[in-house]
Amino acid sequence: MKQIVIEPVTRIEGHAKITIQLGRSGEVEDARFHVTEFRGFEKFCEGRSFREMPVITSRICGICPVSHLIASAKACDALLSVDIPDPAKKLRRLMNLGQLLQSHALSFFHLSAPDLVLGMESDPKKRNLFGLLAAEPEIARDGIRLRKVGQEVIEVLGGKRIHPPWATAGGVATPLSEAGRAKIRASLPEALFLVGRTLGWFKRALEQHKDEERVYGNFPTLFMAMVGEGGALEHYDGKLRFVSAAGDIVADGIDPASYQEHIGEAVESYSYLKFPYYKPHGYPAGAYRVGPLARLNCCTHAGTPRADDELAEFRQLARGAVLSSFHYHTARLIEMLYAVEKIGELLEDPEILSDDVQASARRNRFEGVGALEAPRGTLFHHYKVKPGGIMTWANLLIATGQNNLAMNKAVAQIARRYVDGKKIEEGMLNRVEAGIRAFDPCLSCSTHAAGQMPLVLELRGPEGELFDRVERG
Amino acid sequence: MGPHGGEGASGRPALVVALGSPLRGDDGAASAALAGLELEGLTVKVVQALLPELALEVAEARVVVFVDARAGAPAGEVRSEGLEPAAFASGLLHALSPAAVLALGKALYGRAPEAFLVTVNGSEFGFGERLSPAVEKALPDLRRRVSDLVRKAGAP
Repeated sequence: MKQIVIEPVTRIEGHAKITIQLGRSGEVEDARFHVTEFRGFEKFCEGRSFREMPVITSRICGICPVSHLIASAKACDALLSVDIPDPAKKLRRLMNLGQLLQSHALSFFHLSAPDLVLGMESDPKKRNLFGLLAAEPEIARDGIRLRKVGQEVIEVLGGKRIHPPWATAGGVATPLSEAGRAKIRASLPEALFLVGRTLGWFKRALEQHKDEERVYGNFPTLFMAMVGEGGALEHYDGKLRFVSAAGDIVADGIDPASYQEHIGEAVESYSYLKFPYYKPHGYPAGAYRVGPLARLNCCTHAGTPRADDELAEFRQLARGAVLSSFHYHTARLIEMLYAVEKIGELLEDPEILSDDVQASARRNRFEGVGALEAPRGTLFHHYKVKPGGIMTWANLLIATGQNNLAMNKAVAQIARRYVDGKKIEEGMLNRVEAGIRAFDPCLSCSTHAAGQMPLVLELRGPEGELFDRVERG
Repeated sequence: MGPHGGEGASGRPALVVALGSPLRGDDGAASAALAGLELEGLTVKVVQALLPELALEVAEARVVVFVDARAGAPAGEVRSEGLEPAAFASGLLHALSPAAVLALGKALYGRAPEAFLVTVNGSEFGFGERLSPAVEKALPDLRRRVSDLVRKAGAP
C-alpha cells in the first residue's frame, strides 16, 4: 500500500498525524487521522475529592478551560443532587457564552482566516497571522478585539482569563458586580458590529471557496447537539437531539445523563482518540458530528433576533441538514453573533446581580453526569465516587472525539480530490490540514493531552513503503 | 512619535508581562519576583504564553518589560536586553515571542513601545512550585532590574 503521512498537523490544538494510503494505481484508498498524544486525565482524577474536580479538569485545556470547569461543576451538582440557584445558572451560562465567543474567535480569525483570506495554496511563509494582517488588517484586528471581549466576560466573572476557579459544586464562587456588568455591557455594541461585519465578509468570500465547500468533509452523517425549550439553540442546559443528514429528527429529548444508552465509544489501534457513535446505528454507521454546524442543524431556532435571521439564511444552504464541514466556519460566526446577543440579554436579567449563587449540600449520590455545549461540541463529565466523596471513576466524552469518525472521512475526501502522485505538495498538505481545522479539533481536550498540535503527513504505497513524509510544528 | 511610530509615550501605562508557569519550578520565577510589585501607572500581567490579543495592551503601553526564566548557567544570573519588533513565520499562535507581540502591536495599532526582556537563568523546570535556591536568591535582583527599567525607560 502507498501512504502519505502528514505529521504534525498545524494550527490546531494538540499533536496529530495523517496517513494517506495509495492503491496500486496511485489512487487514494484510505486516509486516517491519528491522534498521537496521550495524557489520561480520567486516571489522574481517581482518588481525589469530587469537589476538586472543577479545578483539576479545567487544566485539561488552555483554550476551553471554562467548558470543563462548568461541565465538571454540573457533574458535581448531580453528585450533591441539588438544583442550584437560578442566578448561578445564569452566571454560568454567561461565562460559557464568553468562552464560546473567545474560542470561536481564535478558531476563525487566528487559525483559519489565513487560509480563507490568503488562499489554501498561498506562500506558507506568509500564511499566518502576520500575513493576514498585511493583507486584511481589519480582519486581524477584529479577531483580536472579539477574542478580548469574550475573555473579558470570563475575567470579570472569574477573576482571570484562564483557569478561573469560579464554578463550584453547587453554584459559583462569586456574583457579578454592577461594575462588572457595566464593563461587559460597554463592549457589546462594538462586538455585535464586528461579528456582523465578519459574517458579511465571509458570506461574500464563500463564492471563492466553492471547491472547499464541496469536498471539505461534505458527506451525510448524523448530527447531535443539546437543544433548549422548543428546540432553541442551547449551550448550557438542555436535552440531546440527533438529526439525520436529511434534517429529520432521529431522537429527541434525551437526558444527557443517559448518554451511554445512546452513544457507544469504539477504539481503533491507530489513534488515542476514541470513536464515539450513535448506538442504534452501530459502528461506524452511527457516525455523528457535534459543534457549531451540528448545533445549527439540530436547533429549531436560535432565540435571538440577528442570529435567527442568519440561521434562516444558513438553512438555505441545503435542503436538509447542511453537510459540508466547511460550513463549520459559517456556523461559528453565527454562533458568535448569538453569543453577543445572548450575553446582552442575560446582563439585563433582573436576577443577574443577585448574590444567591451557591447551594450548599453534602454528597447525596454516588454517580453524576454534567453536560454542556462547549465551543467544539457537546461535552460530558461523568463521575463515580465512594463514601467520603472520593473519585473512583471518571469518563470525559469530548467534542473532538465525537467528530473523530467525520474527521477521518473528511481527510479521505480531501485527499481523493487533491492528492496526485507520490510527492506531497505544500498546497495539498495545507488543504488536508485546513479540512481538519474546520472542525477546530482540540486534541489536548480529547485525549486530555498537553500542547499545541504539530502535524506529520505520510504518503505510503501499496506495500506500506514510505513515498514521502512532511513534518511541521 | 513613540519609539516605533504612533503618538508620544507620555501618560501611557507601563506594562510588565511575567511569563511562565508557577507549577514548573524555576519557570515560575517571573511571577514570584513580581508578586505585589506596585508602581504608579504600572500594570503587571502574569501569563503562561504570549497570545495575539496581548498586542493591543502592548501597543498602548509607554514601556513594556517581558520577564521570563531561561534554561542556562549560571543559575540565578539576571540579564536584560532591549527588544525590537520582529515578525514570525510559524503557524503556532500559542508561542509568540515578545518581539513578535511587539511586531503585531505595531502592525495592527501603529505603535511599538520601548521594550525590554529581563531573564533569570533557571536550572530546575520539573513539576513543582518550588524555585531552585539560586533562582530564589536572585528574585530581589530580578525585581529591582524590572523596577529600574520601568522607572527610567520611556518616562515622560
